[in-house]
Amino acid sequence: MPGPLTDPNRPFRAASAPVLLWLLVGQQVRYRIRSFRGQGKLGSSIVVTLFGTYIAFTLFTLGAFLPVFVDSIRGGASVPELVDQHVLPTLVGLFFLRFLLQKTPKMQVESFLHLPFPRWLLVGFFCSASVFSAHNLFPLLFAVPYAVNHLAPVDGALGAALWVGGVVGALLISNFLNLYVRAQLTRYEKAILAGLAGVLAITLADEYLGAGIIGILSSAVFGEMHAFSWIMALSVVAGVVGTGILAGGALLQALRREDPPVVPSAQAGRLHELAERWDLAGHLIWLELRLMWRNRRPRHYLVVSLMFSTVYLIFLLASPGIFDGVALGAVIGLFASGGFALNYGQLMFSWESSYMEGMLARSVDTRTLTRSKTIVLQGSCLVLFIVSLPVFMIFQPDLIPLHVAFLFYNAGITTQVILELATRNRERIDLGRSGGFFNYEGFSAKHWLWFLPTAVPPTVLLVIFRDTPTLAWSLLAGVGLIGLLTTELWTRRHARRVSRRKHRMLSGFAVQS
Amino acid sequence: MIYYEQISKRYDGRTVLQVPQWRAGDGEIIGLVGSNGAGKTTFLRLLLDLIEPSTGEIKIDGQPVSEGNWKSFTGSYLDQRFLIDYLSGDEFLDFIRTIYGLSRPEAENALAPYRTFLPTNGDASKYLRDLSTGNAKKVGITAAMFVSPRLLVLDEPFANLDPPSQLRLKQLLRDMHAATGATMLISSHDLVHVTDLCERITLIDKGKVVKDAPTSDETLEELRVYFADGSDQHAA
Repeated sequence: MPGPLTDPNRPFRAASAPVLLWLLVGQQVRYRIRSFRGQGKLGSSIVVTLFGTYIAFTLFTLGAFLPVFVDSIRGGASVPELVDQHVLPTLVGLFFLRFLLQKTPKMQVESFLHLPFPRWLLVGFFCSASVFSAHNLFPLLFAVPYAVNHLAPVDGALGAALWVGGVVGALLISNFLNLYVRAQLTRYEKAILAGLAGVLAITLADEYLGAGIIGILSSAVFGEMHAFSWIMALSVVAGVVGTGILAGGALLQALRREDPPVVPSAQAGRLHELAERWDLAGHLIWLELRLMWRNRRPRHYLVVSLMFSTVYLIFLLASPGIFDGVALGAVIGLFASGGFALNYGQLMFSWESSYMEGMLARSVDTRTLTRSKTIVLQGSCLVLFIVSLPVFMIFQPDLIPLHVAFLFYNAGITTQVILELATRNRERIDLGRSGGFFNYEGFSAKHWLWFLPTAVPPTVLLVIFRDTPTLAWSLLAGVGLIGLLTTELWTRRHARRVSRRKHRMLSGFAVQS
Repeated sequence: MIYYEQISKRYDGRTVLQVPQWRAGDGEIIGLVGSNGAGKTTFLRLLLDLIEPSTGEIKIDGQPVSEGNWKSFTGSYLDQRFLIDYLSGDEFLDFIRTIYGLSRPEAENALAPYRTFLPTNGDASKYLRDLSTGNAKKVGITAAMFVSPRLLVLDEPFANLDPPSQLRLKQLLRDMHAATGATMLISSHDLVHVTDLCERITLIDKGKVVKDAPTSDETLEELRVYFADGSDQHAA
């Protein structure tokens, strides 16, 4: 009984572009709703919603009542001038956050490539859909009430609308530029990372030397916007269109590229000989090191951690007055030596999801497995401590005790807290396909929420003892030392957890993303 | 050696495997046959403690598999999830050697019979993810066998292998059994190889063991008739 599809004379005909587009919209809406629901985990959904609401409320209030806040900090300053001056520097700062955190649509596009969708349609759609991101929407919660309350009465509705349009345009340029940079990252990894480091250095110099070039540029662009400059408005539109085309083109190219295999180096042989002198834990550490180096995404985590501990740390420590807030000290302390443990460590076990079955079916006991991971994370704290120590010595020697205290804290406590999270991992990461930088495969809401038990206790400690920082640092180091001395007890605990959770872990790892 | 007692596995309320009792003695070579989705792989994954049974218990040498004592004398290869794909074939076999505590010279000796089975022409130094399915599988099967396990568990070992490699593998399995007397549990769709190699056949259909008997001259024909008639009718 031949049906239409089995009729050999029937030519194959794909659906029209509008129909395909409608299918994509439906799929994307369902995907976003699923993501928002946090994969059915009520607790996570509630916390994420509360946190999002808090940020939204803060931004809205700041935008609506900005003169009140400005008055209390800088009495007599012109609010529009101050805002115009800071829009661009803020967006540059947010770009780095976006670069680290915003999803790239490449993987979403790839999952449709085998279907009869034209590539240009897929790329165009997913690039356009990427603009509906929190990175673009949250800033508007400040910009819109600010423009309505404070620009419209002076510059009129049109001036306020143009200014908001300018902010939207700048956000879109930043969005597409990020897509472009990340699509090129696999091809020009070193050049792009060096470029970003260069931009950071220039921003730092601009800030440190007090030139404020970015601020001057910002004042010129956004001051012109609410002064009805159509040329400036058209320039922004051209910027959006240009970066959009650039991002789409780069993504189209990236879809056709295949990554060259990494070739084992001679140094690898020497490290192998070193591992040979150890027991099974040594070989598992050696395996983990090869995992990091031979797969793009873990390698990027390594690079980002090194960048934070050097370039970004210089940016933070060299900025005058940056240490007015105690909380920032905790962030710097945590990330300077614990950045790799925090980033890479939280996805441990998931990194090995494609072969964890083979590991657990063989004679690898969970205690040795978790011990090797603990050593890797603690070792990374020591390495990053040494790498970042010269930065502290040059820019903030007073903070060396904080750096030392956090070395102990990160090695003794942070690594164990992160491993506790890792034993709960049930999301698969396909190392061969998972692309680079922060593509979120393997992440779930719990990974974001885990920041609370990781970062809050040391921050609270520093805040409580803010007047006696030496005591706070001593306490941190002491707690860390206790953690280090009880490493074996922690390892046993993690091993028991892995044994108990392994079936759920394996069943989650078997699910293709 | 292996005991399945009142084993069942359910997913979302649907029973995919139900084995009231099944045993394997020391040194037996047992072939596991059945249609796609019959429950063969679930049968093996339960044995290797990769999934938890809904009811019942599996023991190896009198110890529940959940205790993990069997791992030190068991070699297994079910699918590519048993391979570490960013290692080369040589590196992977070296890693397996360290897990089972073999020295390098011991491993060299143990690997000697497998050299003609393993990928050649420089494929040994390629990453496993860059090998063809068949060649990657050869590495995986070798990794399960060269450590001379007392229990060998293989899922579809002949699939994706070229005919000479299939014959070579069959001979390697025979040689290993003759040398070590290992218990072997091999699931396969290749009725010719499995009846030729195995001394006992367990036929699984719709999650149930429907036949379990020593291999005889008639077994191959009986299985052919069984599958040709449609296993649905038999199960009904």
